[in-house]
Amino acid sequence: MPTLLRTFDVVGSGLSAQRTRMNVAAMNIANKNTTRTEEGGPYRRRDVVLQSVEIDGPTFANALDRHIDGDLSEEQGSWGVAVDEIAVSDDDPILVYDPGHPDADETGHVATPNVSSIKEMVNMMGAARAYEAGTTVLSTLSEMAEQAMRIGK
Amino acid sequence: MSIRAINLEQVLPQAVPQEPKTQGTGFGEALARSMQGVEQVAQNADQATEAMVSGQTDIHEAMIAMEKADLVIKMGTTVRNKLLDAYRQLSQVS
Repeated sequence: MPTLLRTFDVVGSGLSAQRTRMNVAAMNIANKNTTRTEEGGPYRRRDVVLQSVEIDGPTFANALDRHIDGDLSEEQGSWGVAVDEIAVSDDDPILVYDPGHPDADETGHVATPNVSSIKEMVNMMGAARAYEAGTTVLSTLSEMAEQAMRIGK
Repeated sequence: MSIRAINLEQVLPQAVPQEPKTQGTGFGEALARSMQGVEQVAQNADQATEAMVSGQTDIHEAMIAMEKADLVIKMGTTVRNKLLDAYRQLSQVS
């Protein structure tokens, strides 16, 4: 059942991508008030950039395999998703007037992370819903396979 | 097919001569063939679960590997049942 198992891999790549989105949202929320980082200055918001990747598609080995078997048709690859990069936001830090803060500058302003709790919550919910959709695909997929095995019974 | 590195032992003539492959389509052989893939997938599920428990992969990856193993094993038993049915039917011919 190669094609069925491949669909499992496609869905799995989507689930992994949503887990990464969730992780990055958690990172942003956790660092909402972080004013010190290794690279200096306040924490900067991270964004996940996704890219579609071929999963076990027309790679050279597969093409060779099929040509040896005499199948000369062009195969359409299965496109999964992968995290291309975790981009660091260039937005300016939010300046908050707090002269008592140890990291306040001479005008009494503190540079705080450019993280918006509301946006991060929306990202988080989006990731959770997309993950849920993926798991629904998975259970439907197994149902289909089991239905197929009942053919003739 | 995956492309493997060439192993000298396999290429050189002094390598162990391959056993002639039987062209048989006996019931036993058909059964054994259908079980080969099952074993591989079950092993993958084992590895994925270990990797998950040791914190290397996510839960869903282990679950997907187990689901795949479940389906392939079910398919294996379905094939086995069909073969046994066919065998029984034939053994009643007399």
